[in-house]
Amino acid sequence: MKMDRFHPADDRLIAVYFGDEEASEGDRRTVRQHLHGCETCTWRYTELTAPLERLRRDAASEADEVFTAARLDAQCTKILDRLEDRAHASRVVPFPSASTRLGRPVIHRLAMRWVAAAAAACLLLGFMAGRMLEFGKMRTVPTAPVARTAPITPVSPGLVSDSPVVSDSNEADEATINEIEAAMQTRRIPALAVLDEMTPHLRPEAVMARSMR
Amino acid sequence: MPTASADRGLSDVPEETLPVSLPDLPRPDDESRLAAEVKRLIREGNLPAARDRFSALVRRQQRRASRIAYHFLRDAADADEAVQDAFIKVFSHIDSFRDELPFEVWFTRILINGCLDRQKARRRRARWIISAPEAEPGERAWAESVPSTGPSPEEALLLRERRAQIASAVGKLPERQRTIFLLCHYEGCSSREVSTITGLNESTVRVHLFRAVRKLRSLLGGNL
Repeated sequence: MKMDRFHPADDRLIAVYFGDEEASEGDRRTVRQHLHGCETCTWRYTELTAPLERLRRDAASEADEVFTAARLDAQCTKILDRLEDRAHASRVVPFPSASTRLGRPVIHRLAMRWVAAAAAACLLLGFMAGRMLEFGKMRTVPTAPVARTAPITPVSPGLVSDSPVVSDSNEADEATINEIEAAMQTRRIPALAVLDEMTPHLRPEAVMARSMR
Repeated sequence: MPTASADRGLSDVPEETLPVSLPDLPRPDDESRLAAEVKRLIREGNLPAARDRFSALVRRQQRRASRIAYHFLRDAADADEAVQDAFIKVFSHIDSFRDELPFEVWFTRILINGCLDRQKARRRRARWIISAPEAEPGERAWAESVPSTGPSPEEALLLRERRAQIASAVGKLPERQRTIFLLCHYEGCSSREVSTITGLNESTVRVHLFRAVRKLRSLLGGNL
C-alpha cells in the first residue's frame, strides 16, 4: 500500500488503534511507518485516539471506584453462599399417605366414591321423608283449631241460648260473636252511644247472612 | 492500546492439546483450564472441591465482569446482581462449556445476555412507574454530601459532569453498537472475540465499532 502518497482514512487509523486483526501485520507496519513520516497523519492519529484512550481510562476508573476490593469480596462471598444454598436446596417431601399417617387400611378410590354416593342418597331420602311428614301434618291442621276454640263457647251461656248453631264451625263463629257482643254491652262512654245506635249490629247481620245461604 | 485476550497468558498451553479444527480461536487460558477442572469435579460429584475451584475462577473474572455490567446498566446494585446471576448460571450450566474454547468469551456472552435482559425489564418497568420527583435545587444527594478525600469539589464536579455526558452519549448508541463499543473499547476484546460473543460477523463488528466511534465523536464533540 502506498501510504506516502495516500494518507490513511480515519477508519483505517481507528482500525490500527483497535488492533484490527483483519489488517495484516505488514499492512499495519506500513501505516505505522507512514505515521512516523507524516506529521499531519500523526496529529490526526493522536487527535483520534487520545480521547478514546482517555475515555477508556475514565470508564475503567469509574467502575473501579464503585466496585472496590471490599465490594468485590462481598460479591464473591454472596456468589459462594448462593451456590451453597443451591446445594442444600429444599427438597420436595412427598405428602404422607393415609396408611402411613393414621395406620388405617387404605380405602380404594372407587370405594370412596361409593361411600360418597350412599351418603348423598341417605341425605336425599331423609329430606324427602321430612317433606312428606310435613305434608301429612298440613292436611290435619284445619280440625285442630276448632277443637281448641270450642271450649270458649260456655264463657257467656246466656247470650248463646238463641243462636241457630248447626255445625261445629257455626258454633265457633257464634262463640266469637258472643264474645264481641258481651264486650259491647258494657258501654262506658256515653258520647259514643249515638254513634253505636247508627252502626248496624253484628248479630242481625250474621243471622241474615246464614238465612241467605 | 487495548490488549486483546489473544495476547494474555496463552503461551504455556502445550501445542498438542489444541484442537486442530479451531486454529483461529484463542487457545484455552488459565480461566478455561479452571472451568474445565470445575466441570470435571462436578461430574465426579465432588461439589465442595468444585465450589472451591470455582471461587478462584470468580476472583479472576469478577472485576472485569463488574466493569462490563456497570457500563451496561449504569447502576451498581443492578450490576452486582447481574454479575452474581451470571456466575451462578455458569456454575449450573458448566456441563455445556466446551473445554477447547476460551472461558472468558463464553462467560461474557452469558453476562451480556443477562445485562440486556435486565435493561429490557427496566424499560418495561419504566413504562409503568412514574419517576420520583427531582430533588429540590437546595437539596443535595446523600452521596454528594459525604466528605471526599479525593479531588477538589470543582474537579469532582467536572469529572462527574464529564462522566454523565459520556454515559449519556454511550447510552444513545443503538444497542448493538453500544455492546460492541463497550466490549472492544472498555474491555479490550478483539473483533474476533466480540464476533464470538455476539454471534455477529467480524466485519459487521468492525462496521458497528467505527459507526459507534463516529457517533460518539459527533455527540461529544470537544468532550471526547
